[in-house]
Amino acid sequence: MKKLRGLSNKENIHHEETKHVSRRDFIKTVATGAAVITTGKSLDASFVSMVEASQYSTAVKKSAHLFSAVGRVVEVQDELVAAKSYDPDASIVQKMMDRGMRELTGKSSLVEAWRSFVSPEDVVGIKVNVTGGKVVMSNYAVINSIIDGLKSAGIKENNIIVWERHSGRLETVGFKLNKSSQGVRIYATGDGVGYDPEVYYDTNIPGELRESDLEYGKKEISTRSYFSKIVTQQITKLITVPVIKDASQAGIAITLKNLSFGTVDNTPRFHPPDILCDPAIPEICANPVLRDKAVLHILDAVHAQYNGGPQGNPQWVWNYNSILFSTDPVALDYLGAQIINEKRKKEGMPELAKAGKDPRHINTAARKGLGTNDPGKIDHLKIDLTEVS
Amino acid sequence: MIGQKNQWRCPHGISKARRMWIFSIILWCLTNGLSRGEGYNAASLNPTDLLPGKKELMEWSSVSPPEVYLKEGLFDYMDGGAELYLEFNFKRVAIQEYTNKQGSSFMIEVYQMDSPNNAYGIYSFDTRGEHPVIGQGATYSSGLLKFWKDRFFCRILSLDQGENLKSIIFAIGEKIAARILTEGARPHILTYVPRENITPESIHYFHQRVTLNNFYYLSDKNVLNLNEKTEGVFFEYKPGGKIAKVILIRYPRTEDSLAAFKKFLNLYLQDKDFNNVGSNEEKEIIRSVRDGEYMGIKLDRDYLVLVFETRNKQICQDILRGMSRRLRVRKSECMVSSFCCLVRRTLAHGQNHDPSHR
Repeated sequence: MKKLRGLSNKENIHHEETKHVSRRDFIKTVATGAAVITTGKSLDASFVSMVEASQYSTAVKKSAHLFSAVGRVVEVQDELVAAKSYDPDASIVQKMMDRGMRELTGKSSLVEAWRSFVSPEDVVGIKVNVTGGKVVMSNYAVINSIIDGLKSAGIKENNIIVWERHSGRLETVGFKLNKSSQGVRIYATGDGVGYDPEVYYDTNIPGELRESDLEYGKKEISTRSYFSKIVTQQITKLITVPVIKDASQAGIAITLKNLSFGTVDNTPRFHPPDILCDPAIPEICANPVLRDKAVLHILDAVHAQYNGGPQGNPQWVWNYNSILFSTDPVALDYLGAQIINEKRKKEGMPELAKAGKDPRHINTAARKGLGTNDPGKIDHLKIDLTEVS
Repeated sequence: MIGQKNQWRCPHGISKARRMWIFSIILWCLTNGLSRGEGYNAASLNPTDLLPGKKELMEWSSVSPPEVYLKEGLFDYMDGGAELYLEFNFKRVAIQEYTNKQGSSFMIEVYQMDSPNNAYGIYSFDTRGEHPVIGQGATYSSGLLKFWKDRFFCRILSLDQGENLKSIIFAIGEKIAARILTEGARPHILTYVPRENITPESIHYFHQRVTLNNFYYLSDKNVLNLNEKTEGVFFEYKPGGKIAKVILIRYPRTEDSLAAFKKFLNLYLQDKDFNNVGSNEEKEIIRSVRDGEYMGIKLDRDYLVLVFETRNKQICQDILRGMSRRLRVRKSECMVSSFCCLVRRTLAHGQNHDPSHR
């Protein structure tokens, strides 16, 4: 297999003949260096859950979304994408990405499609999801393709930050952390970046603090969840790359959960059976710091898990062979829950709600205006590339 | 010289018999302890002790130092998945990834629970697949080997394909299991599960409703008053062909099982006529619930038996009463067994207390 060349050399990795991007290759594509992270835009934002969006004034608002379509979801499928190995075929992923971006934005040029969401001066965060381990995670081929698209839109390589909440987990699945001023940055909130003391979600559910929480050592219990400085201070735009998983408490762990619980600290308090992460998930997502910056959601559904989540359990994983594109996280979660339910039905399992995993945060999120869960308003375009290839 | 040797006396005044006894203990330690090389009693082990070293893995090398998460940090590792492990009194986990020159990789997770019961409990969450003889119970499916032994639960995962990798994973599993010299008892409540007409993979041990809901969803509410002190087993039983779902729960006290019985009637069956059930009474209720299906509940001292999805009332009643009989028979057996055990221990203690009496 031909090795990918480093992104630091400003090469477009998708022009390579390589068909399969392994984890190792991905690591090699990300150059490492020794300099310190450049400081992102510092946002003057202080937030409590009930604060109105109008009170929020940041640099982000000046570069508001260029493209947004409530309810529009483009799903691109190719049954061959993971036919040869567990890691998806990079060349097929690239085709799926290109088609999805064009269809979602209505632009014939890929560069224009990416520029519908970002402009060259942006610092773009790519929020990946690796809590399911290698079993169900944001695939390297998808992340690589997004990086490539952003670069084609004029984003400087070092202004792209691939991030997660905990660095340990990132490393476990094979990411090589890079905090330098060279190459795409890869790190986690827990990797020395920390949480912003000025931006938090406060609700009347006390949580026992852990070492990774901002207030640990000062208090034992807190009702606050602080937002990652990556989101509040370093990036101006956010692209999320969630995966499809069921979850024992929230019902599903797809777009909204990845966006919310992947950004703030002190989240175990929302998991007990009487709370089920609702309304915490939608309320955190409704924070303008997330709502305004999260411009695009690319749901990596090459693999999906219908039971036993959010921990990765391969016996409940199947190849769904799709990537879904949307600016509407609620519509994506609604469709994601449907996809899981259909699979559970096929496997003779009760649907999520009848198994005590009702993803009720989807309804709450819709009520809060974060998107739509009304099937009549969801414009779900399905494209099967297997048929045309 | 021989005479001199026979005349030797211990300077500390320890008798010959006692010296022999001490010598025997030292000899036993040497033969049973050290000679087993790298094996250890589970109580003295940490999960990191069980991760294979470089010598054992030959061509495989660890990618980075092992990660260790304690109870407080488990959410950092698996987010909402932590709830399940915490229900089974998780203590710590060690995680290590290994790769070889060909680019294949596998990951080992060794979880330490507080007891063998709970190691079995987390293992029993899903046991569908092949069952290699590793530890005290093992399952392999889709590249994931899981096994339990004593208070440890281990997962070895490789998403790379190939039969060779599967045999490597099995061999590593065997090595890890061999390091744990002791075995732990399975939860006692499992002894009440019938041996015939059972789907073995359907047997799940639980404490609280988070886990039970994964196997059989009853309600958003805690209708059975499940908590960290209750223990239960769920299984699928097909005495008459059609599969019935059975839940058996043991409560710490009879008052607790009675309270749970009443709560279930009130909240699940919405029946308020049984609030005056006496604590020492045995109660059995069978109801038609939907589409000709029946469910039943039986209070039997500190136990509750629940049966769901039976075709007719008779089958439901038979299962409830059969379980009740098992509870009584097994309890009698256990009492006899415990008494015999106590007698043996007392006799042994009397004999061993002072070896010089022999």
